[in-house]
Amino acid sequence: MKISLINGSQKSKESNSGLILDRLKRFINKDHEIKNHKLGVKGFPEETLRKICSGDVIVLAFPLYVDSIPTNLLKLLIELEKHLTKEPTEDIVIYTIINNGFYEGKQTHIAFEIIENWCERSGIKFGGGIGQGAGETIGFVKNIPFAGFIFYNLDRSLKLLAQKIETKEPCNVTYLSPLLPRFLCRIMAHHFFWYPLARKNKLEKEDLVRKPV
Amino acid sequence: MILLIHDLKGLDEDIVLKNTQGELTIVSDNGKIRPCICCFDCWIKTPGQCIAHDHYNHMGKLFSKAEELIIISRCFYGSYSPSIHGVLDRGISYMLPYFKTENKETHHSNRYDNHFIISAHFYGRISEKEKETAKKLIKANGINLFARETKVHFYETSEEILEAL
Ligand SMILES: Cc1cc2nc3c(=O)[nH]c(=O)nc-3n(C[C@H](O)[C@H](O)[C@H](O)COP(=O)(O)O)c2cc1C
Repeated sequence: MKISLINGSQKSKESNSGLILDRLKRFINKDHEIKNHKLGVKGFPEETLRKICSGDVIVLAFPLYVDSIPTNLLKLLIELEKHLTKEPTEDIVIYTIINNGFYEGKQTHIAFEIIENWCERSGIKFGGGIGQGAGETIGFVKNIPFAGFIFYNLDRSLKLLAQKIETKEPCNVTYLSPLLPRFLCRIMAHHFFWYPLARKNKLEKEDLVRKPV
Repeated sequence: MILLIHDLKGLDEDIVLKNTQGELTIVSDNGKIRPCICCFDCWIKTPGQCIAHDHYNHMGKLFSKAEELIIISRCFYGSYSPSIHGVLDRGISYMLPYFKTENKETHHSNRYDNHFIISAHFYGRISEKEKETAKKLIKANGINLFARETKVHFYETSEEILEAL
């Protein structure tokens, strides 16, 4: 089976969407023909669009942007819709994995609807997927020993998703948050993420609340 | 100030400016807008200001001065057009990086004490399902942008919007 993995992050450096796709790949049988496509801030050449449209499965991983989908991915979807309606394909199934900054993966539900609406216009099958909250934590805990357990439920869901992908069966959307209480996640984000990043730029806590006028 | 973000090709901005009472700022994609690359520098390096060098690096500041945010966008799948999305993506400096919990949901804390009205005008061939999605999107954006009220309207063509405005 031909599977296109599309990373819709607009980051030039390592993205959480990419890390999630790496985790997913471990669960997909190596016999399948898997192609990775990183979107970044440029679009895809015609050749890549054609390849994606002639495969069996698309797995789309991207970050939530303004409760919706990142601009470049939106442009890509518009292009893909044109391709898919010009040369209709009956049996492509698309699976979607959205990660968002806020703790609750449920906040990705509108972006899932947008993808479903796109499927309707493009005539391809919506396969469901995963909405993962606290996405920046995925990259953050990557090199911390034993911290990976907070995404145990993500790995379990990815494993189930891989099974669905291999049989092209649709599934429901699963919304996840890391296995840490929300208040702890919030405290950690402030003290171990934002403050140290600011200090690297020689800024103090007080500087972060500046109000340019 | 009223902040108008639109994606209309033939809009004569001078006429709109003449017909509105009060101050109006118009923003549209000039074709050279840089995409937001999620570097977070507008939070932790130059707080409140985007570091990209183009006309859109002060969106947070513009939001802080708006009493009303009017968005005119072609509707794609229940979301904005890429032009509008690109402009909105560049406005996250309007928020602080800090998180707060409201109604059991996490959101960002506000940098400014400003609460505008959002009036969204979507045009195009929009399905009923897409309209429902767009309504949910504007409501969610309203919460994340600290809006005091949100309104959503749909039109088949962009000309109808200009008449309605
Ligand atoms: C412009 C912009 C808008 C965002 N909007 C939201 C949002 O509405 N809700 C949310 O939970 N996270 C939002 N985020 C956070 C990203 O979804 C989050 O940082 C994600 O982990 C980035 O994923 P990536 O590494 O795959 O690009 C936004 C980030 C940016 C840069």
